[in-house]
Amino acid sequence: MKISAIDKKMPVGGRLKLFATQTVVGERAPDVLRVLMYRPEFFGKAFAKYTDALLRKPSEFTIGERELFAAFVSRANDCKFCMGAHCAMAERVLGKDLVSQVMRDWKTAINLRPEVMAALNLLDKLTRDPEKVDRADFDALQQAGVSEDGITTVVHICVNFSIINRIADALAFEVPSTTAFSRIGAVLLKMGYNV
Amino acid sequence: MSHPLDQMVKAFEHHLLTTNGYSTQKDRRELFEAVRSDTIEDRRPTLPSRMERLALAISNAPSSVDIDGLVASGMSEDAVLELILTGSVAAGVARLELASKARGK
Repeated sequence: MKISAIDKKMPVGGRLKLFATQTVVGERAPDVLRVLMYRPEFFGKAFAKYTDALLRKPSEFTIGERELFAAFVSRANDCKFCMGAHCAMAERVLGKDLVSQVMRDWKTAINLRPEVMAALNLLDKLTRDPEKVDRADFDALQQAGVSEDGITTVVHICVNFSIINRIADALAFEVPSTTAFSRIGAVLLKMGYNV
Repeated sequence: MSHPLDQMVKAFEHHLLTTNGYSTQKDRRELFEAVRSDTIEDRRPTLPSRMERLALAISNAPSSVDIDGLVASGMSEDAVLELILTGSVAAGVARLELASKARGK
């Protein structure tokens, strides 16, 4: 990670949480956790709470589907750290084949609910060409059966990962191995994001 | 914007722009607006060159953010971190605004 102050000046509370994470996961605590734990009152605490509300609270989209959306936006932003992390969680819930299909070419992926296809369509456009999003994109979600609340969830997954993907890439987060992502993902699926 | 998720975003946006930190509030506000307008209006920001480069990098190619250059120009690492967090939040907020507008909200 490019900002050395984060490790050098990490407060004691943050160091303890990172150590606890490393002990539970059996891997180096990921860089995203270091950023969130460093001066948590400035940004990390509120952002972690937002992420947990978005990806773990009850929703018409399953946790696996929301993790898939997170991975999908991260892929569109070419963020290897976030794509690896959220693919690992989506794969644990939805299976590797389905996630691989969506990451490779979502438009030809089979076995996806119409609601999920409509959500992927919006996420793709809102991530890559946000100024081109119009009413018809949201009508398509409604026609697929997604509620207003569900649409809000989809929009916020794009918002959230437009933020964290940029932070990860600007700071050059270290990308863990596939095995490490899988272990970290198992813990995040169980415990959520509200660190 | 009344959905709880909208409110959470607005709350940390407000906090980033108004709290005291290592960077000035003025720099954070200008950077936020530059990234926001680059996303919403595709309008190139008009800022001092190092801040303009930072805004465009965060908006369009975040891995190209020149942290070493910013530190060499006299900013502390903590100030640079605050600016990166602020600019990144602006990219998300801009998408929320565009989506809300398209939904008629």
